[in-house]
Amino acid sequence: MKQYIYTGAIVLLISMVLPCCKTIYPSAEVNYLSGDEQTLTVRSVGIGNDEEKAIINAEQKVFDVLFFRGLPESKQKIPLIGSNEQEEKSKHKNYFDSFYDGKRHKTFVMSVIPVSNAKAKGRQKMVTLDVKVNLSALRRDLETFGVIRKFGY
Amino acid sequence: MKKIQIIAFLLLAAGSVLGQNAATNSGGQVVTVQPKIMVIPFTKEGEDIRTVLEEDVNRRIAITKIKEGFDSRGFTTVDFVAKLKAAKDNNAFTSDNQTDIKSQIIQMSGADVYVQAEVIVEKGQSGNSVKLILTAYEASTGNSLSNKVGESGKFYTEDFNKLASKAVESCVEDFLNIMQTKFTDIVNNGKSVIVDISFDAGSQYKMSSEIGSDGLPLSDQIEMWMEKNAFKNNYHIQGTTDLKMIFDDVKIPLKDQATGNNYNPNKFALELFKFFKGIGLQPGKDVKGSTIYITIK
Repeated sequence: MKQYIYTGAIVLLISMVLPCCKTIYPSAEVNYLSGDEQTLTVRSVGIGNDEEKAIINAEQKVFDVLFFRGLPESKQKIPLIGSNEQEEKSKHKNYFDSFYDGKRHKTFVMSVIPVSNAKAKGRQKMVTLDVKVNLSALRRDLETFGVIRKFGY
Repeated sequence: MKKIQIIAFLLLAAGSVLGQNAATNSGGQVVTVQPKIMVIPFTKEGEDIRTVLEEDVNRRIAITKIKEGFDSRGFTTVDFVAKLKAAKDNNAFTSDNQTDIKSQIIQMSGADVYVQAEVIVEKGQSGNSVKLILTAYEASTGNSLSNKVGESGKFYTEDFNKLASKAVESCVEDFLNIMQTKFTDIVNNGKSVIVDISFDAGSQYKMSSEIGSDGLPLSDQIEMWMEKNAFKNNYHIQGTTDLKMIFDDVKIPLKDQATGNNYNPNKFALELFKFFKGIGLQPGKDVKGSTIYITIK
C-alpha cells in the first residue's frame, strides 16, 4: 500500500514539475510595413521590466526575425542567416554577444517611432514601435564578420 | 667549400623550379573562384539579339538595373553588350540563326550562370505598366537557380523607363536572395558537370566490352568509378548505349577536399583520364565550360 502511495506521489510531483521545464517561445510580433532595396520598416511589439528594456526587446525581435525567420511580404522573405538560431548563435558567439548584449544592433536602427504609449502588462511594460532598419548595411556587416558568405560561392 | 656551394646552388635551383614564383606567392591563401554571371535580354524567335538592345531602351534599363543589384552585393557581372561587340568584331558568329547566336555568346563569354530578363510593356485605359520576368540558369546544365516576376504597378505615365526600373526594383532583391541560397547549396553539395563518354570512330571497344582485371563491362566500371568519385556520391546517368554513356549531372566539389585549393572540371577530367589509362584504355579528353568529353581510342 505504501509503495502505491509513494509511486502516486512521485507521478504527481513529476507532472507538476514537467510543465515548468517546458520552454515557452515568445511570439515574434514583427510585421512588415514598407521597404526598398536598402531599408525595411516594421512594426514590432516589445516587453520588458521597464520602458527602456521593452524598447530594446522590440528592436532586437526585429533582428531575430530578419536573421532566423525571414519576413513575409518584404524583400527579405528568407532568413538572412539560417533557420537554426541555436546553431548559428553558438557558431558566431562573439558576434551575437556584441550584437545583442553589447547593443550593437542599435547601429543598424535608422529610426524608432513609438506607435502608442507604453502599456502595463502584468508587472511588465509593453511598447509598440515602428522600427526602420538599414538592411544593406546589416547584410554587409554579416558578410564582413563571416557570419554569412558574400554573394556567390 | 666547393661542395657546400654546389649544394646551395642546387637547392636554390630546385626551389625556383618546384616552388611558387615569389611574385605570385600568396602565402597559401586561397580565394574561391566565383561563377561568371551574365545578364542577357530575352529574345523571341526571329528577333535579332544584336539590335534588340540598341532599339529598346526599356530592356537596356532593365538589364542595367539588374546589374546594379549584383553590384550592390559586391558582385561583378560579365557585360553582355561588351561581349556582343567583341563577338561582332571577331566575327565569332557562325550562323544566321538568332537562338544560335545567343548560345554562342553564352558559350564564348565563358559565363557559368546567365540571367535572362524579359520586359513586357502593357498599355491600358487604367494606366500603363511594365512586367519583368527574371530567370537565372546554370549555363552548362540548364539547372534553374532563381525565377521571379516583377511588376511596376499601373501608373498614368508614358515614362516606361521609370516603370521598367520600378519593375526591377520590385523583385531583384528577392531574386538575388534565392540565387544565393542555390549558391550555398552548391558550396555544400558541389557544382554540376556533364560527362560525355564516347568512342573514336576506329575504336575496337564498346560500353559492353569486358575490360580490366575484373573483366567487367566498361559501362559498369565507369559507374563504379563515378560512385566513388562524384562529390557526396551524387551523380545522375542520362543514358547508356553501346557507343555512348552520358552523365548529365555529376557533382564535383568547389574545393579540393585534400588540399583546400580550388577544384574545377578540368581536374575532375584528369582523374577520369587517369582511370581510363589505369584500365588499359587510350582516352582523349576535352573540357568545354562544365562539360567533359572523353573519347576512347
